[in-house]
Amino acid sequence: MEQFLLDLKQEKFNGSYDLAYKTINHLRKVISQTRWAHAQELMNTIRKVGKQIVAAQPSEYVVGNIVRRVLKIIREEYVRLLGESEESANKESLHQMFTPGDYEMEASIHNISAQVYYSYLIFCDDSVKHLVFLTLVVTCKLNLENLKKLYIDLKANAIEHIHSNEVILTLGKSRTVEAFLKQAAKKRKFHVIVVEGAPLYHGHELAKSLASKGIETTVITDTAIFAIMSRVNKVIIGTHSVLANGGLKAVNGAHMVALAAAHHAVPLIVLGAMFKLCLLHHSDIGGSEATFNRLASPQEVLGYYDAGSEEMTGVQIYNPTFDYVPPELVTLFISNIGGNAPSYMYRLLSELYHPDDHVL
Amino acid sequence: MEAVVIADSFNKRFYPVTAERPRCLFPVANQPLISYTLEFLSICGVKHIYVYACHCYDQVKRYVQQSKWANAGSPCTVTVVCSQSLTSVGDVLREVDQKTLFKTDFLVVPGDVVSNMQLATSLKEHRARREKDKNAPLMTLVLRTSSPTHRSRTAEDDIVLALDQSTNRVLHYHRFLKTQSKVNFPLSIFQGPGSRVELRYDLIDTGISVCSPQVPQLFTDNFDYQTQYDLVKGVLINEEFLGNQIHAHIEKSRYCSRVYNFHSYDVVSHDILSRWSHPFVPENTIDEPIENCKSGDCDLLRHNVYLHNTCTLGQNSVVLDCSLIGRGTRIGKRCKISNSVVGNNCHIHDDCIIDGSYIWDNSTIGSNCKISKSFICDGVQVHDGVIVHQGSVLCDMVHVGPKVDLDSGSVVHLSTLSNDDFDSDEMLHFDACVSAFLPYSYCLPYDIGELGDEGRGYLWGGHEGSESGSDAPLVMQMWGKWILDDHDGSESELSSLASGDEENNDPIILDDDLSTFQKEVKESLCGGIEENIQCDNLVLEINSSKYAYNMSVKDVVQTVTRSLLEIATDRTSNNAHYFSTVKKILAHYIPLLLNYNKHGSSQLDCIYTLEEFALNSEPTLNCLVKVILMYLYESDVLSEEVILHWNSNPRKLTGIFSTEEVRNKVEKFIEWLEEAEEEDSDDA
Repeated sequence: MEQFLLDLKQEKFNGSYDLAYKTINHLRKVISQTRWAHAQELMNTIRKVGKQIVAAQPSEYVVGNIVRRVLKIIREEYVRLLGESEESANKESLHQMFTPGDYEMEASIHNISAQVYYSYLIFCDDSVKHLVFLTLVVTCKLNLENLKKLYIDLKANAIEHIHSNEVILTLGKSRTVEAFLKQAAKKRKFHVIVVEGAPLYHGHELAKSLASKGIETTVITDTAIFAIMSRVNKVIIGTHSVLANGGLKAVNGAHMVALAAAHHAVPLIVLGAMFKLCLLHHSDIGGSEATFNRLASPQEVLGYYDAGSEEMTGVQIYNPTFDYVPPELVTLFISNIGGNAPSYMYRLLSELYHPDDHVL
Repeated sequence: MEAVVIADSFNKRFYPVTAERPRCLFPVANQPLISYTLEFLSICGVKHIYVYACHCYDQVKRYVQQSKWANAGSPCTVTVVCSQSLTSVGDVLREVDQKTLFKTDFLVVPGDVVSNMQLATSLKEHRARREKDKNAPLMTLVLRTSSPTHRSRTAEDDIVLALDQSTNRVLHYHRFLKTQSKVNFPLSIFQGPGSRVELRYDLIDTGISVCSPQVPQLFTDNFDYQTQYDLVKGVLINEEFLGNQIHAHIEKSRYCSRVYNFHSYDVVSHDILSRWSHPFVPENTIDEPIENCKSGDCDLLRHNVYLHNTCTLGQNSVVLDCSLIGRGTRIGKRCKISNSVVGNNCHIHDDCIIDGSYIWDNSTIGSNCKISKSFICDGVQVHDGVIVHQGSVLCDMVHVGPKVDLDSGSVVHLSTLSNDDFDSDEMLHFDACVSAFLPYSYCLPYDIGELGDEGRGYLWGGHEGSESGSDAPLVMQMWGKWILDDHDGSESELSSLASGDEENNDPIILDDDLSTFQKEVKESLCGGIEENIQCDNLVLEINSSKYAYNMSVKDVVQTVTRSLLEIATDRTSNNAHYFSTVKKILAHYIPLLLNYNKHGSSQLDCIYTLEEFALNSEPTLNCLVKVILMYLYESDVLSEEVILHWNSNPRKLTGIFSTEEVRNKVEKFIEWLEEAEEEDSDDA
């Protein structure tokens, strides 16, 4: 358990998919190892653990998303096991979904859901509990498998969005984009322009990988984005996470790409699995550079060797990792459940997470 | 993987700040220095860390017990080994050898490293080399590239390395002392078949090394090794005999620095705030247990300003680039803080200007203070209107002010130190009067004159007037602008260093060797006569000194001959007795002379030395023929060919008398010799 926290703190994970996988695994262990008498207790435990792991790496929203998702699953499972049909439990109005807080008050108005709510909170029948436990573990496992399936679902969209002889521009390296393009390349012929993404130059790796699959690939510098945009048919980028308003926290340079695309009226398509969708708004996190952005060591921008010379003493060097892209610049968000407009994110969020879990 | 962390510097660079606390617990960007080292090692996958603590070991022990490393879930075990008897890195490794802690390769890391390197690569290289060759690769030094004018450099970092380009083997390692500007490379390193040698001046020794289990043994075998540098030098010199090799791993991209004086403290703190040491940055607390770690405690604002969310900033106060304000610190109105680190629970009153300074925990700064590029420790009270100039150090619990002007480079302390606490010959240099005064310092009143009416503390060396030159180098050295050789202790050497006649350095050292060698030989010969020691034993003794000082056979012959004559001169007050004394001494040492004068060339050396000596001494000249030459000829020390050769080939030697006079004196002897030779040939 400590090991996971440590890995989180030291950023020892390989992309957000890996992180999501590890988080679910971690929570599965927590569920199977802790003793609990009723749902509220289990949920409290998960909340406590969730708070810890979120604190260990606050800039990785995937962790919090998974925790909230698991809490939501627990709620659903209880309702289902109580014999209530899903429809009755989900009877709440759209308005109600977005008014977290005093749930009891709300629930008392809607008699049926109130009954459900109370009964699943104070639930102690052992046999049912056992059942619940089993189904929970199974659901988590299913979730893991779902996660594995996720790329396949995502990739399946590829052919619908990429047409023959199109010119696609992408930025840096995203595993999702890579898989997406390769899938499309099986059926179609198109041209990919890769922006190298200084100072990490992950774009070079992507270009190599794409070229090895026989895709026509061009690498350009970050400064050439605007110049080349007029020739591009579509921009496809990955993202670190999708904020509640549909904006993106994406790799450094994404804002520049998005603005150039908007100027030339090129559609911007964002790829990302559902677990990247988080409840935060830019205003929640944008205040401090430490929480929204990740300022890495300036080493990649200017080596310590050169930065130490006398002339450089007054110079500050920054190496931010992320950019915020406002939602109005994003055309479409493609996830494992299909394509959605950024304006639809609020609805997806309400389906994914329970309003009571918004604050862990 | 296991590591030894040496949590003591074995020097007093930070004195008197280190009087009450070890260097490794200094807060650097508000976290203890050693926590960076431990975290760095644990990230590198080290499973067991042995921390060797010496000075204030109880504090180090307490720190580790309370830190996350003592928790059950800690990724690595930290064992603190305390001993006050250790005085050097060499001692630590000898101790390691005694306990035979390591069966496999291990790391030696100084306890003041801040780094985000991945040691895995250097380890892998080391292991690969060890696999190829079981015994030869002894250790791998980890070095970092750094331009020769890099701001992190201090005089101590001045090193030159000769590396084999293909294998990264260290061929020569030279550390500049003082302001030396020359380095001699042994020619042999360039002569190897197909060798490509790289000479590098852009490296900094990180102090980290990957050591084989043989390294502690080597330290035990060579009890005079004090530091790793001694080991490196020793191994390189004896490489041919022992077959050990030292390799280098050069780190180009990651950050690694040590905190070993105020200058490097300044540089490292600045680097941490500029995020070179990422992920070791102020908003990630590293020393707290992982359960209650809250990464969001510190807010990072533009221009690398870090504000703890419990600190308060008064109206119109600004915190400018590269600054860190700690937990619970209150800052008054209209203050300006730049390039500084302020610790936890400090209180800074209105209208202060603080630039490039480090303020530790629980200190209070009065209003209208100006502090620039200084170092203020725990619990210090700076009263209103104090101006602290560049390079000052205020130690724990000192009070200063109100309304005083602290000179640049003043050091204020409260410790009641004695001579025992502080060996002045070790690293810092004092006037005799200052150190003589120190034992009584605690009964003296505080230096109200310099420190203001509310002042509590003593000005370091200030009692004798700050003009006394001693505190200038002290402060300079604290800030790393000045370096002194570890071995020289006197002020006179200091002044000679300042005058800067390095050109003559090497010949002087050679002459020194020769003269000490001569002295030793003479002493043993003298003792030989007095105690009637066997010549064989004396030969052994002289031979060992010969190797110790690396003397040639010629030097030995000349020295022995001259010494014998000198002894004779010393022992006779009256010229009349000279003959007999010389004869007695020669008679005693005939076996020894025979031993050294086996060959014609040594005999020649011997006879020319005799002549040289005779030129300056009348009694010797007088008895040269009658006693010395005759006697040596008769006892087969000198052959007749040599004497004749010498006679016909006069060398240009100078003295009171001329060589002609010598020739005149020996004329009869030579004639006799020639006759004897003719008779011999006639007989044949």
